[in-house]
Amino acid sequence: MGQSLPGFGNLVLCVVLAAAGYTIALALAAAAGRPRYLALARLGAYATSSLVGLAIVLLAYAFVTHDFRLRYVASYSDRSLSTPYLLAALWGGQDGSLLWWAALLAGYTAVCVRWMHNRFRVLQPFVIATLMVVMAFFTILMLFASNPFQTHLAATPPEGQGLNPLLQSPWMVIHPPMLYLGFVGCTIPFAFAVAALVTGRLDNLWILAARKWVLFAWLALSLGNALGMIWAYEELGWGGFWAWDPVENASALPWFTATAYLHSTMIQERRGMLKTWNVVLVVLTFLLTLFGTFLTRSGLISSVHGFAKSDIGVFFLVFMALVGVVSLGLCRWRRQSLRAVTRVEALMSREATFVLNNWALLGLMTFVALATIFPKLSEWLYAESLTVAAPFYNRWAAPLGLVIFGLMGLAPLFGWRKTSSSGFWRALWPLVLVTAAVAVWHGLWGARWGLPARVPRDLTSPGLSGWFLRELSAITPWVVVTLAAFNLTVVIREFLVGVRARRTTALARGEAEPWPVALWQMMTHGRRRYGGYLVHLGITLVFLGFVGASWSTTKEVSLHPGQTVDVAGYRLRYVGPRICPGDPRCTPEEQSDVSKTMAFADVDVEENGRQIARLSPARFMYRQGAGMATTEVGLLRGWVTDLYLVAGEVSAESPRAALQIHVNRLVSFLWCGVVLLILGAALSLWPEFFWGPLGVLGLEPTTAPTRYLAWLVRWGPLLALLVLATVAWWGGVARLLLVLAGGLLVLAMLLVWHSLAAFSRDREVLTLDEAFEMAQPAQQEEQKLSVLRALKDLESERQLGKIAEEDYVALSARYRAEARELMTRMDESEAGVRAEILEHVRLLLQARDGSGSLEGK
Amino acid sequence: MSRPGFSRWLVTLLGFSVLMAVGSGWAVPSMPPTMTGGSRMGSLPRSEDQVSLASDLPVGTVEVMVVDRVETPQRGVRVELVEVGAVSSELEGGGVYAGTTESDGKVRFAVLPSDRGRSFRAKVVLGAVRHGVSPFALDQGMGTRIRLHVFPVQDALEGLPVGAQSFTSLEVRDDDIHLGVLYQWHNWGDVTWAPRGVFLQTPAGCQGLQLPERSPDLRLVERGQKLELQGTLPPGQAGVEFSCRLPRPGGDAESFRVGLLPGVVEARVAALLPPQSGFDVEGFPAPRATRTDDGQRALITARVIDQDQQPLADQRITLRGLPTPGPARWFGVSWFAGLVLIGGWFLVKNRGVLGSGLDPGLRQKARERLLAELVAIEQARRASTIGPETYAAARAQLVDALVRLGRGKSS
Repeated sequence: MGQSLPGFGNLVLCVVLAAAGYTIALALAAAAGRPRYLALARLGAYATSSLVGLAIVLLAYAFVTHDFRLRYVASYSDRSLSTPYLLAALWGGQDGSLLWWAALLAGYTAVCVRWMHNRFRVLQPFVIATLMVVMAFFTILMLFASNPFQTHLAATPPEGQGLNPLLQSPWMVIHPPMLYLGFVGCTIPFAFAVAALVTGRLDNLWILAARKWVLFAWLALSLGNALGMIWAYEELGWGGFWAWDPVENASALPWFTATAYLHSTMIQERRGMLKTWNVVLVVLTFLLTLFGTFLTRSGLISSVHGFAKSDIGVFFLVFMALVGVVSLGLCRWRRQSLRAVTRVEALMSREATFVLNNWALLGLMTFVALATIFPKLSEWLYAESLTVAAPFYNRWAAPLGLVIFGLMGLAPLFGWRKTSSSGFWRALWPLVLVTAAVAVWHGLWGARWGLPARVPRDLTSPGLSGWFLRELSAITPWVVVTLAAFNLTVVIREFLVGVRARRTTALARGEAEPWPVALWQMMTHGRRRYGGYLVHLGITLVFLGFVGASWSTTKEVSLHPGQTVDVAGYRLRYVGPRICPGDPRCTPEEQSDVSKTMAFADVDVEENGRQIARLSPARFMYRQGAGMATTEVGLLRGWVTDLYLVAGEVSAESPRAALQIHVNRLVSFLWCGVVLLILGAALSLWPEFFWGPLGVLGLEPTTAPTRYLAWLVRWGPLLALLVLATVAWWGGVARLLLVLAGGLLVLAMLLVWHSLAAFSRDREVLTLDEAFEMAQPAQQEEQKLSVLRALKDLESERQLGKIAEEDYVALSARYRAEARELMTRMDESEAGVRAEILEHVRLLLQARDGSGSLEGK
Repeated sequence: MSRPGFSRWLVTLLGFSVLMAVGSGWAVPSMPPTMTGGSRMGSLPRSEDQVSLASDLPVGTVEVMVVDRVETPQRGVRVELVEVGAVSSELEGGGVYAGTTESDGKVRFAVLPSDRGRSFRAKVVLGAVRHGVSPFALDQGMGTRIRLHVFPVQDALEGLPVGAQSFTSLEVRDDDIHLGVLYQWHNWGDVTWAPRGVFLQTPAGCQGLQLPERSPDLRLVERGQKLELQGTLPPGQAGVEFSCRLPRPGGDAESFRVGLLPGVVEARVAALLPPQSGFDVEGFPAPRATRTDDGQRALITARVIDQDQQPLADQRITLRGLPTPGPARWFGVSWFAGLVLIGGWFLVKNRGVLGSGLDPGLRQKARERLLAELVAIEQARRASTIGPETYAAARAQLVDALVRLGRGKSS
């Protein structure tokens, strides 16, 4: 394969396109009254995904075997790179990251198709078709503009150009894939939204289907951004973790809209409101993921992330325009179905705070988006490129951020539809008391702890707004700490009240439930709610981590060996420079690393007269990449304070070292917040990870090849893992990839073959599985489920004391009446059919056995 | 020329070519004297010009002697002595002293101001060419003697012992084609101006034009899409060169013309090409293959233009067999588009069932299949092959499914 790898890779991409077309045709046919084709479309989707998987494995193989015939491999790797970085180079440049995007989409597609199996049958064809269209877009992009399998026109270079040293960080091995996982994950909800719009099923069906996918994508985006912050903090060496860089912003934009959607979707589920809003949010989130990729890859705005630039921007613009126009067209076509069933009944309701929260999030997204593209906008408007710096973002984003932060704490105190005033104030006053105590403590004694409530700021813009922003910015630390205290107490209260209610209910049943058991039961039974609260807790810590930057100290010094400097309670003693490899004090790893020259500035750190650490900030000069230099920070982490050293100048020629010293506050709160956020989101997601009962690829194992395929799919993953582990142990990564490629090729061929074979068979008799699949729940049943869910919520809110008794009685009666009406309507319409069916069966039995009596009624 | 390997290779090629020229009867002249200036209105070589103090001359007196390359005095030559810094005076006729040389080639300027800080320069203008010496200050104790050389200047190449070699290099890169053209002039005669109005047409689509200086007196100047040759051709060698990027062709072949300057007696074209690619130049022999130092494949062809042949105005170069993405991607797109259209057409044709996803025929088939299963369940229960719980669960599922199908039918 090595001889023809570039050609084979290209061929695979072409076949991906054909397979995607085949899948779309079958899916559309399935939607147009040929439901049996849906199983074949599913097979097509699996085959397409396998082929894309094959393409990425081929590229990985090319990297691992240093196949510099490929331009992409030669541009982003060299022989000195270790295997993890060789694999990370897959997404180090543009061509590979597009293939990586397609590969992740392939993975999502396969999992989503498997997950849907027999559910959402009405939506499935269009979900599959939409996913295939997106897949085809990226394949076309690769084939025509940015092909990772393109070879050199001239001779093959004997050595590659290597990977950008900034990307040679363990965090960068996982940060981009995680971010892409989030970006690509937003395609699935978009596909469900398109399917809902096309089919007109704009009830809760698509919302329920898309909810967990959005949550997963949101989790991946959050994690990706957090990993990016860690990378920036540890690798870029400027002392911070978020610089409002255009590419950072681009990854935050879909996060804002996805967060808004996660809240607004609850309103549609429970109240049948915000249907258009939800569709728009999902489409916007998808568009923003494309915009993020466009921004990263087009070089439209200069960024520290400008690792790859090209002219593929126009492809993205056209596709984004197409997505926007089609989505808007569909929304207009379905405007009747998108009308809300109900309205916001009271301002003191959870939906009202969610709506406000949504507007604030959307406002923040719009602000960040406009500020990000402002250099380009100003170029168009004023013929001059004006850059927006971090202080501008901090000043203007802070008010909106604080509004969101405040609403985040308030919303859980409200119930759905309406909240009784007395109950609300009863719940609020202890919280206010605690919050006020924290606010007073911070205002009076915060400075003693190095965390003053007010941090003076400079005036950055004239007029009243400038004064207001400056003053707000000055007291932001105090406001954040106060709101953090409020949020924290709200979450704790929710847990306490929940556990108490659960124990009371258990006691009413005559059972005693200990606190830990009640807490566990409450969290496992209300995963979504309590997972959300954990996320809120995480966000609170993240806010504290962000505001910690206000209390940071920065100092620049130039030291000779033996000299000391005191900063924020630390005494730093400069030991001297150490150049590796070469210096006898270097570690064996440093001595053996010939890819770069490492100039360390060794610094002893003392606190209270005792040496607590030796930090070695450094400058690395790489031999590859035209002697590119990177800054390696020396970092001493603490729960409240991080000591962060950057070597501005250190070399063998001079014993003197220029050091930047940052004493950063509450950075660890940020990382702890992210961990809590992950735990919360994982808790909310948990049930969806369990697979349903066996339904192998939607096929009935009746024919020999199908049985074989079914067996393969059931045991294949385990078998594949065993084979791959054996191969990896025996032959290394290259052989592993080769075997994986072979396996994917065989799988794709089997799937295509089976799909074509089934397509060519025109069976008159349906299988039982197919017949069952055709009998999908109707819209009325979904409505019934929705009303029953609302009743359950009402009971829960009554237990938690969020609704007054009289309101509960009124609402409960209303829901029950709605449910009764729906059930009566269904029973009336079904009664005849049910009787007819039973009569039909009775007659059939009589004709066969002579007895028409039925056991069941 | 972007990579060191290719530059080294070109330099080697250049040396090789000069050796070839020597071997084929060309007399490569020795290096010319050092040149200064070089514009059409600039000064010509004056390495042997002298400015010296002369005690035998009165204070404030300047004696200028005009000689040719073999030191023969030149009679009847108008010499000007111009005060430096008195440009306005010069323009108005002030500050300028003029005289004509006698038979001994000398002219003397007397009673000149000798204040400190005042300096002069002597010049001779012959046609459009100016010969002169560097500015000098008058001494307050003695006079100044100047020896100024003038050179015969030719204004056309015809009949002169001048010839040029051209080297055209092509490098097919991933994003474009790099074109470099180098001219090496050989002049066995006197200094001569480059012919007037000689333009070189750059190939169509030429971008990123580079005009590095190879000789101080000779150069190419950008004039729109053309390059104009300017300066002087000194005795010995002088060179000019330009390079640019040509857009990468969409197909597997690309032709373009590279203009040639007059006086080219040997043209050489070399290209670094991918495997299976080649090139030819109209009127040139087939290229032969070789390898560069770093193992890259190079093709070279050359042609000597005899005196009885028409001079070459340009070179038409055709690159062949360039790698292209091939038609496979178009097949992929066609398949994709075709299948999507078929699916779309089918959907539009059957849009009535959109949302329900079932046509009546299929609904009936599904209903029959479920009814058959329900009957089988009843029979199995009667025969006690399934238990009551399994029976109840399966029956409920089947009846519910049938109800959904039935309701759909009735609606």
